Amino acid sequence: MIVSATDLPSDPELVAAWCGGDELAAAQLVRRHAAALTRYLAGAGAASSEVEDLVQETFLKAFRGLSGWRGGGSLRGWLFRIASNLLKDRFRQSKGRVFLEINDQDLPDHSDPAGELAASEAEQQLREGLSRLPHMQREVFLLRVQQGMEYTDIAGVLGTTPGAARVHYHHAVKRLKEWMG
Amino acid sequence: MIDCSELSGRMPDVIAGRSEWSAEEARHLTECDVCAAEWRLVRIGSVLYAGREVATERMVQDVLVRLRAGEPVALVPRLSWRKFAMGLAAAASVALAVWVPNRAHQSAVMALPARLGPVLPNLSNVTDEQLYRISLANAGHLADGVPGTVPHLGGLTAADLEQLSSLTETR
Ligand SMILES: [Zn+2]
Repeated sequence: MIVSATDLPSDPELVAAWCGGDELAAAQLVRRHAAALTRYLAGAGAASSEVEDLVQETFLKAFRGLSGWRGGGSLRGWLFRIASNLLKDRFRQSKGRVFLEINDQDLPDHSDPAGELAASEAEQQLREGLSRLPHMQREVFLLRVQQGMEYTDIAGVLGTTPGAARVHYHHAVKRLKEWMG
Repeated sequence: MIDCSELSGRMPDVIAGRSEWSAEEARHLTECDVCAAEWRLVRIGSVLYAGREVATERMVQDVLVRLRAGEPVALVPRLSWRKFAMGLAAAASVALAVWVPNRAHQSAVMALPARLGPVLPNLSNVTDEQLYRISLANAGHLADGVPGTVPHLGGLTAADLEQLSSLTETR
């Protein structure tokens, strides 16, 4: 049986089900958002060995505090906000060290070997460039480009204004373009 | 006339499928070096870490188990046995250094950290087995070397705790 996207329960429906004690709803939410959170945290500089733990912590914190999510913004945005704060705590504990790691196994799998090599090099360059940005520029860039979010939602995630997020984005792009030559 | 900054602002929206290029804009992206470089950057950024594997089902199980257990959300990374042993050994040495019950035992207690001195600075190089022995040995000193009560964190001053936490910091 083919299930179309419109047949799938929405995030607010799953949240309501979880609040009513339905564990399967929580499982469904993890399946839906784990990959995006993983990519975001990896790009934001979490140590490779800590990404999975941070994603789990994000879900635990979210599931225990769903009353804090009003349903006004997207659930994913709220999850990113929790993840971003958890990552900030980790950075604080490690005295600001950014754990950006270059790891070949994280690179996309492409069928074209020549294209894959070029993409790998470019992606590694971008990872290095990101690690050199101030954290707000790095996170705004990721939320905007990697996660495809709009400035209003980004502002909600990072606790800033859409205008400020836009400025951070432009600074990030300028510096990354210079870095990537 | 193409406005480069307008194109720049729309690039992430095109990637996300909220907008699309006209034929003229698409041609501009191949002809204008500034826009071409940025469009390349945005496309690479959009697939950043896309190849990273996520063990989703295992994560689902782990999260459900932790939810059922009512495990509190860790504000610090969960410690491995090795880190725990290093912390325990360091904490034991500090507790010995700062806890002086009375004059009669002062000289004996103050001598202990000096005895541990050659060992503790090299903790990062010792094996798990050695760490285990150090932690056992220190626990032994606490219990055997000083009769009466064993020092506990509640008896330490704020300065002692600060010193303790800086020594047990794992990163
Ligand atoms: Zn242009």
